Amino acid sequence: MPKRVYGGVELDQYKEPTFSREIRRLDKPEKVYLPIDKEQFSMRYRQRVHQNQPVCPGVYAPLEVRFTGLQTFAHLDTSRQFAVFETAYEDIEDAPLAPIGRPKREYDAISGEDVIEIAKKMAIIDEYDGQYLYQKLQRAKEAGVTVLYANAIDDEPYVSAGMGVLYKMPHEVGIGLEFACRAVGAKESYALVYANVGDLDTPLKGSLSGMKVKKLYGNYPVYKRQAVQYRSGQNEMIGVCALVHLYRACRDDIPQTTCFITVGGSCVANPCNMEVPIGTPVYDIMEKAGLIKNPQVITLGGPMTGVAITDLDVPVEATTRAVITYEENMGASLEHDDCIGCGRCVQVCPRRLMPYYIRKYVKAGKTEECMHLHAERCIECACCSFICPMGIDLVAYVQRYSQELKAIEEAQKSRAQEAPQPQNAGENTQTEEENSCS
Amino acid sequence: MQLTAKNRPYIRESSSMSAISWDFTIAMLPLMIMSYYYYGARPLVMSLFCAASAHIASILCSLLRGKGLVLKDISSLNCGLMISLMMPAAVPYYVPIVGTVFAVCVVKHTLGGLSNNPFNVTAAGFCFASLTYPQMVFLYTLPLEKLPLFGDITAKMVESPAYTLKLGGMPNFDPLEMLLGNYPGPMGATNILVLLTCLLFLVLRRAVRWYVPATFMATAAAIAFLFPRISGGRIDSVIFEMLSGTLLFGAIFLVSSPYSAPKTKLAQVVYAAGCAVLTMGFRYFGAYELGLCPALLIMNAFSHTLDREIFRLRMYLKNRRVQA
Ligand code: SF4
Ligand code: SF4
Repeated sequence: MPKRVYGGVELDQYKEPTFSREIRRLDKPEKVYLPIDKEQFSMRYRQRVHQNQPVCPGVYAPLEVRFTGLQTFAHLDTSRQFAVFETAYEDIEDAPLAPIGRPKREYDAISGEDVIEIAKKMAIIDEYDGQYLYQKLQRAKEAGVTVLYANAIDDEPYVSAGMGVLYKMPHEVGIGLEFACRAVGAKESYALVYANVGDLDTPLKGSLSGMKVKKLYGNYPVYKRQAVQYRSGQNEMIGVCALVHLYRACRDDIPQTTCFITVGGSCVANPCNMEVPIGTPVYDIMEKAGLIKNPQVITLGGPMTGVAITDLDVPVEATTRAVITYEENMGASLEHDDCIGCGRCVQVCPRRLMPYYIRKYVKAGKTEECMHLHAERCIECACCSFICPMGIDLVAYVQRYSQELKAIEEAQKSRAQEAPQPQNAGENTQTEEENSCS
Repeated sequence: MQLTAKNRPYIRESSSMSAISWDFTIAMLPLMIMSYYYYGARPLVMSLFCAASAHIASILCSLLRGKGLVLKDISSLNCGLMISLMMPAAVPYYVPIVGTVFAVCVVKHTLGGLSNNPFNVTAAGFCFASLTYPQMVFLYTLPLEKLPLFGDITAKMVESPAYTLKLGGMPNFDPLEMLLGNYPGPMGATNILVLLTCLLFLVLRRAVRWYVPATFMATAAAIAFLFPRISGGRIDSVIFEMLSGTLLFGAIFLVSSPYSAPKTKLAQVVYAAGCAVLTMGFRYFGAYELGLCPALLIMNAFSHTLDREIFRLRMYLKNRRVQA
């Protein structure tokens, strides 16, 4: 019996045909862009790097490449540097993307500590929350987590990369989950999948190569709600793609150099789930999937939480889970915003916030007067903006409000430090985050 | 390929602002048809005048406020329709028009236009009209008597059951006839069955949340049951209080209007209950039989406070539960 949850919005999921199709591979883009830390990066122009070798600590070359320069992208965070690599196969015969050999290690010989070590060395990142897997495992181990979940909660429309991986590669996910359990010391493990998706061509099976699948229902957002619930407690979720990479790393010593993404939306000729090398520009992905119409908007990530790009050179990263195209520009903007006070934004907020009032205060420049609005609870699910009949960008207001609030608090803190008042020191503790977000 | 950068989300709920307003307009159409059935073409002409004057006034005000030509915003038009439907059919045309123009120009546009209306525009307009011309707004003609379009109304003027109730008398109408709207009263607000159908439509279209009119009517019924004004017994009291005046019309079109109401569910319920208590208070002790509109305006003033305090309480309880 699906549990009733508060708020959220019902979305048309459009997960077919991507979910039922086989996962395709994109082998050789001409260029890849890898995110690097400039301090630790020292490469010469046209220096050669072999596949699966590090280009700098924690970043591995997905293919045979040569370094050709540095670049930033305007609409991603501009402080982030990307190194541009050309693929260089001229002196090598066709090499497969991820060589599948005989298992190099005996599975049983790998201990829990080894797993964490491997996850750290191979720079595996959880694709759902962008955290390093080894950190998550370590934290879970320290917290004494008893139940681990393989996370395939794709609650955003079009996105089915996680589900696709879970149902097409259950063997890999299962063994990866086993390794993760070993590392954490968890007793139970399940796979989590969002099942409120309407008609699927292939039914969602309840068990997959020995792994039990828990189906989650309810309105969008489910993943973020679940994440809040598990924030402190005996549960932890790990993305299925991270688990696949953990499996490969443990078996063949392969670092994480690919990501699984959904290529979809109304303009794509061949919507499907794809495994692509990290750093592949969107251009190549579009070429592989084929366009039947000119999209107005392309996003990295799903329609609710993604980022719109204007440059087809923008690369996919370990945390990218979808590249979606849209025929029409339905995005929110801060320009025309006449709120009619219908209150829908307040009624859908799954965190019971009041975006209507937050917007009002921010517009009036009275952030300071409304510390009681608890904008820090926002999980940025964008339900409020989705439902607003006037197309107001409420998430942006909530974010702005949080930022202004932070600035005010910092100013207060520094003022307090200038004139220390011993009786008040230490009273300023923050309220604890609650366990449930019903 | 020209890509545009916009903020998320990139998909939208389909119902837009104008769709919500149109829902209300459509819901009022059957009421207008019923008023035509009972009173002839006069109510229709009146509604038309009100709607047109509201829309024109709104456009002019938008222009004056430098907002440009806003043709699509039909919420003022709805306001005009609602005011006309709450009037007696025999009222001179200028009365509802004065109310409408006051509502649109003074209440709506000076207090912030489309957005940020602290007060329910329609209620304010109706209050203004009825306080300016009380002797015309609360006298009704008998239904099924066709009224002339122009010129003097020669039909007999009577008081509505709401007024009889006020005097403590028992209205001598059959409740069944009252269900069908066959009694003197506001031209669009008497037909209970049609009103219920409108309510169903609006709830299904999600333009109205069912619990708001439900709370309102339930509270009003409870008060009528506990403190009957008439000697005929408690049940009769409930029936006549429910069926008379603009109670149900107001519950559907005014109390449920979300724009000046609180935004959270619980606050809306409290707000609806508060409206009911005040409405009954005005009915019992007020000078005119006008109850709902001033009650609504008073509750409007508490919308924000209600939201804030309920939110605060909820967060407080949450934190306490975590710490426990
Ligand atoms: S305020 Fe935050 S949590 Fe609430 S609906 Fe908007 S984005 Fe989601
Ligand atoms: S949903 Fe949009 S129009 Fe409605 S109250 Fe919220 S911000 Fe205003």
